[in-house]
Amino acid sequence: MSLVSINIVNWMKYRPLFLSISTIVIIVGILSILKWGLKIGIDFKGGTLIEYRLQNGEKKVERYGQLGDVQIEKIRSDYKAQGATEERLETVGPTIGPELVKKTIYGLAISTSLILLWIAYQFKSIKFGISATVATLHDAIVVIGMYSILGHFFGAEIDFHSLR
Amino acid sequence: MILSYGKLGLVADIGLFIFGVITLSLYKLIPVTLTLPGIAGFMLSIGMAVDSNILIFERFKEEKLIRSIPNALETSFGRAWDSIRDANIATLVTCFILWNPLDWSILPSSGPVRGFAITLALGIAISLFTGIFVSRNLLRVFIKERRSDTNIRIAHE
Repeated sequence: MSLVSINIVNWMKYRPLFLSISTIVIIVGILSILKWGLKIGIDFKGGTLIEYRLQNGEKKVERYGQLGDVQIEKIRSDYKAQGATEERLETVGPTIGPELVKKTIYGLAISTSLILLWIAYQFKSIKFGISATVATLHDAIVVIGMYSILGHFFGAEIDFHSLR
Repeated sequence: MILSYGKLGLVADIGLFIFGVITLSLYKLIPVTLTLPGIAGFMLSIGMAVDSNILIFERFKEEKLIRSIPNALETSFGRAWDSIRDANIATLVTCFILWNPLDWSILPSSGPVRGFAITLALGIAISLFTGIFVSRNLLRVFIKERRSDTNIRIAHE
């Protein structure tokens, strides 16, 4: 059965181009992670973040370490006295950070291995499972690497606001 | 969808609309609290729904070259179903990990992540229903109508 009349683009012709693009992105991303690290937000670090909008429309973000309720209330009333409106206030405990990272890594490992097993079973060959999993991990590495670069140059942070 | 698939795309869009209505009403019934990650899960499941329609229509393009149109329709739905099922089950596995319904302590169990997983899993289940069942039967009806139209015309001539 030939499907000559359908216009099929021979994507494999561009293999060297695509390979070099993803290699460059991955290498730059990994170098960026090693050099600058990831800019992690408040959800991982713990502490308090308060975002205010001043009267002239200017936005201001303040970060604090661990604060008690009384201290937070004091900061709030200070700002309110200046006529600023509160945009968001987040407090995250210090323990959630490292644990969250560990759990995320476990989740990644379990889900990728389950997908590997599922695809290997469906396609009757472990090769397919491994290629699909490697492709998924490739995408994850690209995203994390890009985040590191964006975090260094544009201040993108990894927290729930960016995960949303 | 309409731009690239014409009438087929219109049927897919009707299916998508039904998908949206069913999903939103389920959110209301269960009730799922719609947080921002939950909305992201909803959006992603819309993407998955479109994806299954595209798989079917691409298959249909190939099948209609060698079959009659109603036959090609049935064949393309049947053959695309395998790949749609595999893709959706792989996503459901990830949903299960994110949802973590058994509260395993080694997995994340924070609220927003759970909301994302639940809306995504619901969306996938419903998109399987609308993508396979609803749009298939809509297409069957349209094709039958068109055929009876031509029959009538022939009879009149």
